[in-house]
Amino acid sequence: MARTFLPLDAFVGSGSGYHLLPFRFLRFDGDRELLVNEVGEYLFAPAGTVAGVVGRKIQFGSPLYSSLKAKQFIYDSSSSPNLDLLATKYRTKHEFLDGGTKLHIFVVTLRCDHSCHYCQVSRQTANRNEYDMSIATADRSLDLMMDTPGTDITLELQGGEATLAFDLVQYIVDHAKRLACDRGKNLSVVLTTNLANIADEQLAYLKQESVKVSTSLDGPAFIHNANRPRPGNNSHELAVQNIERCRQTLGTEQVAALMTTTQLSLAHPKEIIDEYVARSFHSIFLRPISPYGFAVRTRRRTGYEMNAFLKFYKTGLDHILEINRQGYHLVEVYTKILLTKILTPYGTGFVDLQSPAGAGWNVLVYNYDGDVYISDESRMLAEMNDFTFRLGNVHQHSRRDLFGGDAFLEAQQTSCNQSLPGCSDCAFQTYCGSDPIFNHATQGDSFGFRPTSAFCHRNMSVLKHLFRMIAENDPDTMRIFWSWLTDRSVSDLGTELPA
Amino acid sequence: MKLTTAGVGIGFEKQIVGIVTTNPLQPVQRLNRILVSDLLPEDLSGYRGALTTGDIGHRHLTTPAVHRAREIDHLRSEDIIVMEPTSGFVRSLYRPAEMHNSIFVTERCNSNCIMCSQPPKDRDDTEELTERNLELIQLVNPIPEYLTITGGEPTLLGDKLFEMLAALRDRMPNTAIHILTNGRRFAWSDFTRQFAAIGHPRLSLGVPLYSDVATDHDYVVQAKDAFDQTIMGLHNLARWGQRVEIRVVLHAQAVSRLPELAEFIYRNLTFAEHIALMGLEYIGYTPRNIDLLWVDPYDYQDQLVDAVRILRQRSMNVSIYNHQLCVLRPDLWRYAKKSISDWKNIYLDECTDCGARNECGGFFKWATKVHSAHIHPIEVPSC
Amino acid sequence: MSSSEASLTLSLDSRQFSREAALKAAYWFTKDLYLDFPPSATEHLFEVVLRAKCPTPTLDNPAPKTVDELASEYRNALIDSELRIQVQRETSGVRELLLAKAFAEAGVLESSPPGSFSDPVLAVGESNRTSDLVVIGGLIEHNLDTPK
Repeated sequence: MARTFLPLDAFVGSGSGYHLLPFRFLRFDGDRELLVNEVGEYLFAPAGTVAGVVGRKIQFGSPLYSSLKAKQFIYDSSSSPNLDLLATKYRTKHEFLDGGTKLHIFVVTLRCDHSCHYCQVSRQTANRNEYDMSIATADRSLDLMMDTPGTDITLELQGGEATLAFDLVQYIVDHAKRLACDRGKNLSVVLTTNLANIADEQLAYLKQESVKVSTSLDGPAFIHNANRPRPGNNSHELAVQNIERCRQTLGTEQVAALMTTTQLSLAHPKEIIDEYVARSFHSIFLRPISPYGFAVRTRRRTGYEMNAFLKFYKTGLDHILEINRQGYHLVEVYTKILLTKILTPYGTGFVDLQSPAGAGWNVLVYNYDGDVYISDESRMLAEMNDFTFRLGNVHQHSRRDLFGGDAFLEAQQTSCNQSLPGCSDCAFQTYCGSDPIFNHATQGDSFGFRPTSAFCHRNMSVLKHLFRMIAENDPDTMRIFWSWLTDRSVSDLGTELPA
Repeated sequence: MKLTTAGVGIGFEKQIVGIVTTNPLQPVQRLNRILVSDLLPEDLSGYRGALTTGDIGHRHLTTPAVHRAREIDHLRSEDIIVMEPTSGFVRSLYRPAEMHNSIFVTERCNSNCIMCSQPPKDRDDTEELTERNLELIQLVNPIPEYLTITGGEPTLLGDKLFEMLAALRDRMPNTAIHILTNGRRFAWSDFTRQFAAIGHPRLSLGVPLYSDVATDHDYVVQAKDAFDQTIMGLHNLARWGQRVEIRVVLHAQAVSRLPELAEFIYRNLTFAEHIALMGLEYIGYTPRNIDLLWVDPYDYQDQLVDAVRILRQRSMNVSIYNHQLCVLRPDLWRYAKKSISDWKNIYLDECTDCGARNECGGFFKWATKVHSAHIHPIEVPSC
Repeated sequence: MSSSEASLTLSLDSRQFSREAALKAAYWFTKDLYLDFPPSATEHLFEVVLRAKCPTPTLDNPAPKTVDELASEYRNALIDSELRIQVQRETSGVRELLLAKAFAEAGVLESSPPGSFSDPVLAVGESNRTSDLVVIGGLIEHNLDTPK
């Protein structure tokens, strides 16, 4: 047997230095830099490392060199750059592109019994003809929806208050299911409703058709009722009562709640979170104040508001982590989305933080009057007579017209943060997204101006905050984060993980 | 436990595979059977072969036989053995009493791992071994729950491997087959496509990976490009729907970057069903390379804990094999599996009073030569 | 020209900092500064004129940064900007190839495995492939298989 053992040197290759693979970086603080590669893998390194990497000063075989190589920031002649591996990881991150439009939002009526301060849309009228979707519009919208290339699609019904037009809801769901069956689609249905007027027969129908319910809970009564006035000022009481009824009929997992943030909310993060725990919810989405509507007019206030929101978010996240530490599983949705992008190989289907932007590509809105928009926010802009992002109308335009028109193309042009000024070099590019409608609404054009962009400010701050926590690597915090990411309970994970 | 004996072969030129019977059988029952006895009866017609410690002298046999065998006490009825004509070797191929049986397919390997427990031989034995194994597959009885295919490197068999897998699929589709392979040949898509096309319903592959650094892995397995090929091979396997497990033998060349390897596996081989972290075996090449390899398991507990935590946070399945409970941190015990086959398994004097002895896998029998300096009895509190 | 309190001119050596880096770095400062890039008379020097947008405190901006502070930040940003351009220069080809591979159909843009899988025993008819590393106009790619 002529086999001899070769030393490590024999496998090192001709050793003529290393080559770079694409990456971006950021000065994280005085001592550290954060390097991020094209697929979101990251490395903390001492300040000056990037200059060292570029200047070819990193020593072969050092731990830093090995990590740079293993995480595909550099490659050398001792092994393949394995671009196919990197490409597979890239494709995995961008799986959301597959299948085209997956979320189809139908605005079935503008009629509503509430007059929430932040809503630009609802109409206080009993006139069904004026503000309800017609059967013809529903039919045409459903046809368009079924043309989408992907197999897994979600129909989301909203308003106004969708339950005020429940016979229409039933018509649409029945027809959608039949069409989905014919066209080979897997259809999920979600009903967005304030639940104030939900009747037993309606609940029975929702149960029968496996419809999920998404409702609003802005916090405890004093916040919720202040945000969401209705005759009798009992929105909170009705919401809480009817969430329970929903859970009992449909099952707990079928009922979700979202909060909308106002100035009042910003002062009370803990109370809002405690309310969600009190109502046995296991996830909460701490969202910034929507810039659409009256806030748009006063650009300067947006800066102040974003700082106030960030304080709200950080206080809220701390409180949520403490709740988790006590053993109650409560996920902060936005944090989970960002952590998914940072810590896992996967992307997410969250349309508001994608590049290419989700608007139009992954979500479409079919208004009661047949107008089609690339997102709910662009529909809100139309309420203020800004039709920039209206694609067309289901009665006048074919699918080709809708997706080939100026409105769609304009949005697409600015929908990849890879090519936007400010974003193209940003270390957080792979974790962030682009929102042309937000830019247009807050800054006057769909490109936006990053230095004063509230979208940029929020994402950068939250990402830095999360990366600080990741660098600290507190075992409890990381265990909580991973319990969110892998849908396991904190306590189960606690018994399992070695300390 | 013995697996081989030898004697003198008479009356046959090609290897004979058959099922042992230690008692004489009626003529109708003798098909496929090899009669194994210290004293052979007169009537041997109908047996496939005979094996005896005795000397048949000038007796003329029409039945192929091996006589003057060193010993036969290790053989039981229903064992499957092969008798080799020229060398007179008699090898046990399959023992129904064992839970874990392997099909050994070649001694050839395209790697040369510094801690290989089955050092490769550069002789093409695939013709002979495949013929043997195909017959073995037909004789196996009762049908086992699982079988391992091992070597050497099974993928070097090419079409012959596919032939064997097809035979297993047809004869025992419910038997789970686990193939131990370095995975390198699967980097070639055509090969993987053909492999997947066999359509075996219960197939998985165990593939070793020793570092997230290509050169370190290549060094351990002593083959240039091995890391790249293995990673590409794993991806091709996943692409073609094959189930893979990653195996890491823990030794001095693998433990320093074990946590980084765990993270690498998660990011790049997310589809791996299971990660097996295995203690070093003091056989094969290991004694020769012990200076490069030995690290007391007690001394790498930090890295092991980190690696397991990383994998479990990410919901990946992990097991620790061939480690004694007293050298593992207690919060790793739930991941330690008793994995040493009974016949290779011993305990040391220090283990006599250990409260965890029943739960502990103990040692390989060669551990008397090399083992942790921290073996000690554990006091298990009584409930 | 405004008073020197609210304005500062940087003289940069283009052998050390490219104009491209200076422009890119300037983007983030256009919130607080007016930046001017006057044409340069000399080959190796160019100037960047920085003028504070808000030199004196106002209700909205009670503690504005001075032009000196901003200029120092800008100099730091220049260094990073230069590094980014360097990285981009070296990796833009690979990045394009990466994206092309990510979205190509299966089998279309895939590289061959490096080296060979054989062992010292080579049966007749067993296929072995080797692939060579070639540089194609700045892109690194494996060339097509060369069967043995």
